[in-house]
Amino acid sequence: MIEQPWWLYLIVGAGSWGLTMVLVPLFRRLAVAIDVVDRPGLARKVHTRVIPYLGGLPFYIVFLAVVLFIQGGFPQYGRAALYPMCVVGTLIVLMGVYDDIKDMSSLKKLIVEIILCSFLFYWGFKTDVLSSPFGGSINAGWLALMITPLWIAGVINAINFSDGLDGLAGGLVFLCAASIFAVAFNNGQIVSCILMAYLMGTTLGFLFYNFHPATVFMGDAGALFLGFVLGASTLVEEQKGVTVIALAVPMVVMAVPILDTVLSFVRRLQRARKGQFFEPDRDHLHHRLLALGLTQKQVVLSLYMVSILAGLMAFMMSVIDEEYRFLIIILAAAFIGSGVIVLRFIESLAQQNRTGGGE
Amino acid sequence: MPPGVRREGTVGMIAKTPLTPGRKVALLWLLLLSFFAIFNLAYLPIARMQAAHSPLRFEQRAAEMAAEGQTVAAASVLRDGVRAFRPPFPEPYARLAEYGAGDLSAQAAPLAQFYQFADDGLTADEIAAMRGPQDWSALASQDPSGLLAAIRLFAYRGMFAFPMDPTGAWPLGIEDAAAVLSLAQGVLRMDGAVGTTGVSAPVPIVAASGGRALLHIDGVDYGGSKRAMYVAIVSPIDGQILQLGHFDLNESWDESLRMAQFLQGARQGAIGVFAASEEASVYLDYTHLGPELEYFGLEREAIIGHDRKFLGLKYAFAAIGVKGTAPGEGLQAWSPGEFDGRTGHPVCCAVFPARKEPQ
Repeated sequence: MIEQPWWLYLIVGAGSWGLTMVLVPLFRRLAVAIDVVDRPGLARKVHTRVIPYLGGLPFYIVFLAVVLFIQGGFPQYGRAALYPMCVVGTLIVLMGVYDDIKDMSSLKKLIVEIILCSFLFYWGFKTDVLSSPFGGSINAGWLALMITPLWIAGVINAINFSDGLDGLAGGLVFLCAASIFAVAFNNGQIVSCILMAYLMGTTLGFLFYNFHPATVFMGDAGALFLGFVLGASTLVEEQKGVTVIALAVPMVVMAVPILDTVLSFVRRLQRARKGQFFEPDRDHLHHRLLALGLTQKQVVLSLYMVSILAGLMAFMMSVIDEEYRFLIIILAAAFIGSGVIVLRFIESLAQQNRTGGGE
Repeated sequence: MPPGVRREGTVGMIAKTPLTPGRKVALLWLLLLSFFAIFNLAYLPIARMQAAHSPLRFEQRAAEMAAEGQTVAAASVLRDGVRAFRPPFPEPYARLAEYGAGDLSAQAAPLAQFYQFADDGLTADEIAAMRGPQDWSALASQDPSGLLAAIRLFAYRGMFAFPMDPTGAWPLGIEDAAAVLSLAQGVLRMDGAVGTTGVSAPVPIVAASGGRALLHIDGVDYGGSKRAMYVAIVSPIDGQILQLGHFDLNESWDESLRMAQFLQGARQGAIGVFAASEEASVYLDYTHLGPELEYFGLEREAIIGHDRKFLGLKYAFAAIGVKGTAPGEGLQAWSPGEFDGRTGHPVCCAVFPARKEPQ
């Protein structure tokens, strides 16, 4: 087995946490000073007061610091692939800042994300062979070119969509990173562990300010960047062939945001005939749970719980024998399916109550 | 409540002279790009320095040393690099032959010639020119089915590595093909000797690898195309198969441990035949499996390379060793999946028992 530099993970995690704790208040002040704030008012907004943005910019700065620290101090654990992540990450953050201030259409954002993430393919962020959750491997062939941008852009959007309640996106990223860290640690994937330690540290630091009641938002800049790092990290170890951490594992880990994204996509498809495919709505999972009467904190904590369960399933999937993996897939599918059915049932009950109350 | 933000009065803290959205974006972009510029100022010199000292740059370092007149040191750097990476192109071998690097210099010139020819497309005439002084005529009296299978593998898989036409130059005559296989980092012995182990193969043994694994023992193929390291343990007395196994070293550390236990179970003096199909190295455990492979007379460096992180996946690796011998005494051949943008090629190790003169 590879000897794990757990002390390095600790330094990276604690350092990221500390630096984020220091930087977030500074960026919050800057956001207030130049009036980059989120005002309540739009139907899909949940908060009721003005909250500064730019809380996510420290994620980017801390990431640069971590890369510099690893490359300068521990080059044996560094990867040339981290630099392209910094370059593309910079462009993603710049786009996020633009979106926070001037609002960018979802279509334009998606196109830019896919183009930027496509560059990563040429820098080696790819998977030629996918590990099948049912055992064995599947040669991706020419699809490999599409997998990289679609996967990373998908994760970016999943995290961005989940950024609708105080502490939700940050917490989900923390839990996803913790689960992937456990899988990567078990597989001896040092670079993945370092990146996950960073994500855990920085999101934990941010949650101190962003958990309900939030005093700062990460904004699109932060959500897009977190999603980018999370998505790209799952491909960073896999520079030359088979996906070491099979995409199936992070897919299960990120079940909550990914499910929300898929459901959102389905709703958008239904609206597409009216030309509203790229229009945001108030039907995301967290919105629907809020509509059931749960408080913001309850919604966030319940989604954390679901994410923890998904993380545990992903970890089990990575450690059990190949021939039993399909059981975890079935379990996850049953878990998600029953969740959706229960939610729909409760929603219809609430609807009936409301209708009954109105009569 | 953190300082700087008043829950009720955030609006009141907004800047007195509001910036236009465009200016806000410009200001923040400038700030973020400044961070990125500072990062680059620190990162790029470190990365350049590390790249210059990277084992991958051995050719460049050797050239610099040679230019300074340090030919012996240059040859040493080049020899180490060639041993570690087996670059599938002619230049390093040509230089090595030029510097006269001890034990490798004899192999270097033909290898340089082989890769030079392979660069332009192998033709039958070129192959005939490379046959060299070795006498392959004894092959005619052997059952060459294993070798023919290896040739077919080489011809088919070699197309991905070399611009060659299997319908034109291939199939070759058995002697020409044997010459090519032996030149392409392979080892073919006609005297039955398994390297310098002191053991003679009682039956023809051919191990070939490159995309799939061939383990031809006395005319029967025990290899396969499933992703794994295929291993056969053969009796040195009568050539009977004692144990067979395949281990997916791309799957988990457990497979590595299982293979180590499998090799531990082999009896002293038994012949071990190894061939990798697809990728069989991600979880090659140097603590447990490494010493077991060395105990079969395989060299640690050649097992999978000096630093496997720098090498491509889908290795071609074939070896024939004897349990209880010293590292380096067995026969082994390998080629990287990819090195410096160039694709590796299939390799072959073969031992044919010496022809017995009629009494």
